[in-house]
Amino acid sequence: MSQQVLPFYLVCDESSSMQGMPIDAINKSLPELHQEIGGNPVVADKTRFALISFNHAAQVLLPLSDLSNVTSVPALTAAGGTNYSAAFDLVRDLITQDVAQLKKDGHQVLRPTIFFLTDGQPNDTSEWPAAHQRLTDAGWAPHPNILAFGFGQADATTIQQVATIRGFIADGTLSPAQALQEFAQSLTRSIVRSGSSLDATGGMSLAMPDKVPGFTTVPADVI
Amino acid sequence: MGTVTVTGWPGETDVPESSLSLGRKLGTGGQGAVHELTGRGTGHVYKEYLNPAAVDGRELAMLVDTPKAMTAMDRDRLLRQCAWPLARVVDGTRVKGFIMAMVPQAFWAKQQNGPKLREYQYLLFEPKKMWGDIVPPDVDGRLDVVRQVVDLFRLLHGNKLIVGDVSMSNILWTDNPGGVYLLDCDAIRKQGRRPVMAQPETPDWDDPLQPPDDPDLDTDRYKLALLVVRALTRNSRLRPGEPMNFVPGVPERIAKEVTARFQEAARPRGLRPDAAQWALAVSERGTIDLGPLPTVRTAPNLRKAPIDGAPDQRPLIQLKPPGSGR
Repeated sequence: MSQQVLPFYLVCDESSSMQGMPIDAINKSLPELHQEIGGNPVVADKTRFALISFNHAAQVLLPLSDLSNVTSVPALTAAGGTNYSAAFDLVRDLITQDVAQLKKDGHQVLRPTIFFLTDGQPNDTSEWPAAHQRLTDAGWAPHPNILAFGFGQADATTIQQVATIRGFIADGTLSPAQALQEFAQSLTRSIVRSGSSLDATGGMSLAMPDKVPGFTTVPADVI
Repeated sequence: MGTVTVTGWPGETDVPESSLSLGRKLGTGGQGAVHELTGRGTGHVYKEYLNPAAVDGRELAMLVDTPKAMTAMDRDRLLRQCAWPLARVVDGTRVKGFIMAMVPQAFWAKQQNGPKLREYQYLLFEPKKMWGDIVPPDVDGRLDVVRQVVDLFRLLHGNKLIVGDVSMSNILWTDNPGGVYLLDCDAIRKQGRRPVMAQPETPDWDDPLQPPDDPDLDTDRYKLALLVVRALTRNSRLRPGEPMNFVPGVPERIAKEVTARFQEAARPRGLRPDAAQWALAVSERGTIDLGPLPTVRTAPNLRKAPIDGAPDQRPLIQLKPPGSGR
């Protein structure tokens, strides 16, 4: 049987409003995430991780990788505006390429998961819904599951619109740095648990983070 | 109050949560959060269930009581090699979790971001720099670990205890000196009984012939076969029937016997090698092939004495029906 692989994409806002503590918190969390996943042989074997940043444009900081083979990753740097459509368009193209490559390598690819993080309202209010629609179109086989996290100026309604499974909005009880640390830990836990437990149907699943203790698991479809 | 266990636990089997002195939170798993205990509980941890409503408190009590019914030698081995539930933690009538011994120091490794458990999975992959000071053992070390795993399963199965969720994450190993340690022991159930709570399965560690309700002894035997062979082949996904490539240095006799037992592990339920057969296969001792067993002798067809005649050949004695007088 071919090896199942679950791809994760961290799509992270690096607009100018992320300057200072927020961007530092994310950059600081990346080595921990890398060590936790890359140092776990089974989880590293069964998952892949990519890092995409966006402001007025989007760029791939780390292509989809087995984290046990990664030795460095470009840091996030805050500047520019907040353009969601650039991020959604780029990640759609990446998923198309990555899924094709993974299948070519003999893998059975599970539905990709996007962890989307933003601290502000998009500047491209009229464009991003169409880009989001292309990304989440049910007719496009590899359409990803999206977990959206908002803090700072992010608006709960926008976060709900971006998320396809669950949205999280910072409630102000933690500082932005602490909230982002929690975000990074939930991302790490989600990857580790997804890569190391089966769901009720006997398949590997996306283990989602939840605010309350305990996690809800949704089956990660085979594309 | 009972007697002090080999782990140093004073022997209470039900402990109020309010009486615990909690230290650091050591981690959160799928079913619970683990807290270090301080004060009189030092050396132990508290696994606090995330969803206590899903816990069967009676089954947990039965697990806590299980060591008492074992022989002293088995009990000491169980408590030294397993993170066994030593006491239930309760809040009034609600069961909140349980106490277990802290994982011994020998089963911890150092990685860049802190201590890391020496999980069985590190025996199943080519080593990587990110593993810190976890260096998988050579062939002799692997055989040592495998023998200890087999012995642990002999102990558990000999006491009618079924592990169920056997995987690369819940068995730890060390090679200095060699040893193994079983985690998640609240998932263990007595043969024929239900687990404390519904148990997860692990990808690549499922038994294709597992009964729909729950894993049983045959499931454990299948998974024991995976543990043995995957460590000796350094292959995290190998299944019976697939080509096997042992790590260099596995003695020919062991390779031959392990190969044979591994194929048998895919047989129908009831026909899979048990832990004793695996112990023989990986033993340092050679086995002696004995000649084929003679055919079963049948009784000679001798002339029968008249008394051996068929019943219908005997004359019948008519008896008077009861109560018919003299």
